[in-house]
Amino acid sequence: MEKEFDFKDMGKRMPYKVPDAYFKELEETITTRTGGRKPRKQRLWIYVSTLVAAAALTGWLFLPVYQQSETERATHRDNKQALCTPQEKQTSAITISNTTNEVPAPAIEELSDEELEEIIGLASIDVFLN
Amino acid sequence: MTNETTIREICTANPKKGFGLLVKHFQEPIYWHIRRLVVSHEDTEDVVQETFIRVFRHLSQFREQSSLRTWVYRIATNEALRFLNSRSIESASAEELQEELVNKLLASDYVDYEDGMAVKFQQAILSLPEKQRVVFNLRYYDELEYEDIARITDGRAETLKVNYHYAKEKIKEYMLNH
Repeated sequence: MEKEFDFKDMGKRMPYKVPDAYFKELEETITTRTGGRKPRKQRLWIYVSTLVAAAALTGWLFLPVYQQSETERATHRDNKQALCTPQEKQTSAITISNTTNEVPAPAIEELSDEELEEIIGLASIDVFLN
Repeated sequence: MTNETTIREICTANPKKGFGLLVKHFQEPIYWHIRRLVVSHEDTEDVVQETFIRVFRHLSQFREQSSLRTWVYRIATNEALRFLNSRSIESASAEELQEELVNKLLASDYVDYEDGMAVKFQQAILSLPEKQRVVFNLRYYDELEYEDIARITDGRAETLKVNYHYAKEKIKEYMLNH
């Protein structure tokens, strides 16, 4: 009569082996591979805070200059429009509306050497510019 | 011996130290779990390392809805199956992959061929479909509850119980007829 296979005879025995001291080395390998890193959440937090700080600094540097040049241009525009004919006023309005989205080039000219150096320094750590 | 609650607490207070304890606690069971699925020692080494790197990277996202053991086993199982699936893309079919695994079992530096019955038993396990193989190993060797296996494999405990009993019957049959 055929003998039935009994799992108890087998137990948890396995034929697989590992090299000597393998688990000690494995622990070291894993620790080495993860040693230089920080968990993802912390690294993300560092990136986000760096970007927020860079954006805040950029805003702080540019906003007063931009507002000043806007005021000057608005005054200049009002003076010019006061002297124009109605037809010239329409053409001038179209031109103004097309140029308001552009970065005001004179604003950079008005910056001091120190301010320009600071902006260039900021650009070197900006991930979107590099 | 450090228990899971202590590891979890240390992981929260000091992730790096907690992770060290986690590796020490789980490396052997996770190694053997992966080894039973991918067979060769060299492949297991790669999958184990990837598993623990993944655990490390996502440690802060671990929710206490499951036990730490279930969570680590889930990552290990996914990594092992991902590895096998990448191999099955190279092979023409699942049968060819099974054959490849059996060949690895029969020609490896780190297998004790003197224990013929243990080798045959692993061959029997490798003859099972992938899902049954995972369920059988987790239940038979790691003695996990069906509810935990369900969390690891995204299955239902009742279905897994049936899978386990089918697997046992197939292994019995294989051991008698080969």
